[in-house]
Amino acid sequence: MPSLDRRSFLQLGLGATVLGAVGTGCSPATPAAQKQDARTFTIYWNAGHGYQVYKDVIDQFGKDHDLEMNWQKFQWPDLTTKLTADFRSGNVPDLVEEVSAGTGTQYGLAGNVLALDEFATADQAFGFPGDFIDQAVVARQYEGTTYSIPLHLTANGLVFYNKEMIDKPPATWDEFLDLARSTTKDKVSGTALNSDASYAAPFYSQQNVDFSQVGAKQFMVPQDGARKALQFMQDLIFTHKASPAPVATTDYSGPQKLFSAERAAMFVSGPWDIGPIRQGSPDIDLGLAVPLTGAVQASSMAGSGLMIPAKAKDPELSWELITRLTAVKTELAATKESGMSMPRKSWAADPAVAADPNLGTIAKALAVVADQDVALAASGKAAQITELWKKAYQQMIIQHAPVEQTLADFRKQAGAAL
Amino acid sequence: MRERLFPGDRLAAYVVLGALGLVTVLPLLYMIVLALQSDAEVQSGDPVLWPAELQWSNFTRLFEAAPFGRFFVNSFVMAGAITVAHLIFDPLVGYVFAKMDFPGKRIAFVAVLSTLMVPFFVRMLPIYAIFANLGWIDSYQGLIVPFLMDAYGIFLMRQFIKPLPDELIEAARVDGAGEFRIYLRVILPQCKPAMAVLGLFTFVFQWNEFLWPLIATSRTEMRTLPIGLTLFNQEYFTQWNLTAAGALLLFVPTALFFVITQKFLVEGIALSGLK
Amino acid sequence: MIRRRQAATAWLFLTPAVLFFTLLFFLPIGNQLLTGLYDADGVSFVGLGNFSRALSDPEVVHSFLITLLYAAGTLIVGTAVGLGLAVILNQALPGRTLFRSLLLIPYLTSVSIVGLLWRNILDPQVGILNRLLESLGLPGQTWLSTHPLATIVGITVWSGAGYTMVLFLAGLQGIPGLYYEAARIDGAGPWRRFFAITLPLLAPTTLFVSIIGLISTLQQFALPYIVTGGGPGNATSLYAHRLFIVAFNDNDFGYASALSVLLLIVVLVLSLAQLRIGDRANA
Repeated sequence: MPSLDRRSFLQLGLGATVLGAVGTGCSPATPAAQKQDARTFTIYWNAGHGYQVYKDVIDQFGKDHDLEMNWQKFQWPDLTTKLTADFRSGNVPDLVEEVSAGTGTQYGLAGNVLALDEFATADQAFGFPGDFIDQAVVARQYEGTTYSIPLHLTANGLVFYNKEMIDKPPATWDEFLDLARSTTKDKVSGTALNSDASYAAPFYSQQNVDFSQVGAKQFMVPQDGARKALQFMQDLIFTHKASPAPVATTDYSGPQKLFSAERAAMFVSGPWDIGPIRQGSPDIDLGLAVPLTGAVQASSMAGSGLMIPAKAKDPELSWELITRLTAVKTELAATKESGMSMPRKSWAADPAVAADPNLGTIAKALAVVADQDVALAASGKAAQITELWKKAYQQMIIQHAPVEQTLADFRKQAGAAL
Repeated sequence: MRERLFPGDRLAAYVVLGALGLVTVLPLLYMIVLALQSDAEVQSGDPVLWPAELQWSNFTRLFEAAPFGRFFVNSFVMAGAITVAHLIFDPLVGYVFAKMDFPGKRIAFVAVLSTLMVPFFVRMLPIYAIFANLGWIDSYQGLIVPFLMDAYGIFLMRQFIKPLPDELIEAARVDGAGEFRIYLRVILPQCKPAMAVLGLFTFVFQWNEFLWPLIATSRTEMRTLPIGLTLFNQEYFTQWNLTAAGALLLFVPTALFFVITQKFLVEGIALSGLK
Repeated sequence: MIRRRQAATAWLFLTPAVLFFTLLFFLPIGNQLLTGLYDADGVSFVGLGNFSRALSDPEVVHSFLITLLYAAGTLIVGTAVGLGLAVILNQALPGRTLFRSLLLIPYLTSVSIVGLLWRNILDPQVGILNRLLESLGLPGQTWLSTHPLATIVGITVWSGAGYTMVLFLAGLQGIPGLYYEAARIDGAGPWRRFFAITLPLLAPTTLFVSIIGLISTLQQFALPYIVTGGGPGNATSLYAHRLFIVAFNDNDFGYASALSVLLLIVVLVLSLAQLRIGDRANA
């Protein structure tokens, strides 16, 4: 019987080394040939954004250029995995939706997606960057180069409240806390915090806290404000019992579901929760209020963009499709279909948008989005540091870890990662 | 005449089986409940024990939303071909390791076993790069070839073949049978239960495989069912009813495959009873 | 002479396997692992730097330790439950086919569905389980927050018990009934027969179940990825989950390769030790 001794172990190691050496011969560094049909145009998209409006634009584009349009939809994590594999093998799509501002910069500095400034300059009618809301543009630029074009623009920090439980929405943290405590009774919680760390951003931004200052190698500064914000959130759960402790899952819809079931009087989130609430509980009298004011009034920016892989077959074509997908006409139609808010100034100025009370509130939230540290994306460590932040946030909010110590640990680990 | 371990042992067995059976089945029944809920019920935040109205249309909505028929065929071709390949190769290699003696056997076996010990996504990227060069992206061979055999099946077969008496082989050799003939006529017929198990597990595993089909296909018509199921998660919430309906769809073929192999397993019992 | 001919036959039978494993395992894996000697950008050579980084990375050390806990818990509970079920269902009980089928259903279900389903059921606020407990007047659970790792072990055992059971059933059927007859004639009772015949003759199956179990639990990544995202904090960020994050989230393939080499070494040593003990016990 094969009893396995040290000798066979060594032989195995030797064999593996030899094979490994041979393996470098067929290294993936050599770009893969484009075996795809040259008439196929491939787009990666988020499965939640598969609006009919976009489908129509894409179909029309295919007709105009005699292309077979291959519109692939993914969940964000799957899209990232697929794209990573594609970049490493050289077998890339022609246009990709960017999960959020900064992702394109990270890919662009690694040479995986194209700088788009030349296209934009040559295409005056497109109106970039002039017609786009500044924060959405600035967050996608690094040292004067733009790596993606904003597609959607939304903000986290809106206060959703149930008008049957709350007459006047809170405007300040004190009012928020008072209301959360006074509406907590029996099975109803005053509010519900989210297990996802990105939902902390409106709170710390309202204390003027920057998530990162990569230049100075600082995180969550000023420290006082950061402590205050996280302590406020932690106390809502563990001291005032005004929010259930969130559960660590990969589903972020917990607060929305509690609100829909009339088991939470209010919660802080973004426009994406309007649809599910309307659909699940049409009877709820939903109120939507502008972001809270702590030290300042602030919200955090969200929303996807569009980027062109460096090895796309025909970047000119990809650019043309970008201009069609982000035309103000398309934006207005997409808003009408889905309620999604958009990055163009001319979109915000459109009478149909201005007249809609919800969109008006969203626009006010967009006006106070906190600046993003573009150097974080440029450092290439953004994903890793976000991961560390996720851990720290859950430790404080779910596991009741001391705020001061956890923030200090996070700063140390994030600094080391840089 | 049945012996007793203790008075009421049969009752105790049924109590254990019943309890575990319930724990097993209830979550799956809940999946059926989920699949039949309306969109509003799914989003309402109140867990629904029984939908107000059974939404059978959720199943037809699947097929309207994406070419699920095609996904089904792709999954079937992929999992089916891989299962057949495993049933051809794994017992043969397992037999060599169980019953043959040759220099280098130990190393070879460890080398085979070691392939189980690195997560698939580690070898995924180099294979993807090579297949992209070969033009095998969006093809059946691209989906199938990385999984033609595996150490799991080889190890499984080795473990099952090892206890078979050597005299069987010796006797056949004395009768002048060739080596391959011995394998085919003497060994393989003994392995039916093990092969049923191997076939079932291989099929189930590949049928549910997610990562490789995600990477190796970029056209809707080449996608498989597990990838298709992810189309129903919205950016910020899960479309539970459609996901659960798709999950049930995903489940049917593996259940059928199990029912088929279950018969083989019973046959295996009958055979060993005759011995 | 016969030996040499048998060796030739053996290698002839192995030819497809040699080709397959070389081209689709050893070359790609070796290729990938070589990047473990490089920086995240894949250009600067860092030698063994990635390895020493791993050993002093608190996240990696933590994930390794909880993975050992997870593997031990899953293996012990899973094997015991699977073997127990197999022995019960190998008896001539009416309805055993039904129970066998029922118990295997979770294994037939894809792991992503299993993960999503349990995530939905266990959610303390909006999940069905607490709703049921509430209507029975029982206090609600928050297992995903209070005992996250044990919950992941529980879900793994839930989905894998039927699979272990089938392997043991197939193993039980391979034991010739003759042995039991002989033992019975010698007056051995059922318990004695179990320990004197069943357990020893099941040894190859047990060895297989435990080695494969060890290999797969040490590489578990789908369940934490789907159910908890590794949280709360990093309580369920198992080693392979961390590895996947390093590769596909952080894009640090050099480091990820070093981590997979370390995983390979640990799994190899543990399973060879098991195999050696098992084969010796068999001999």
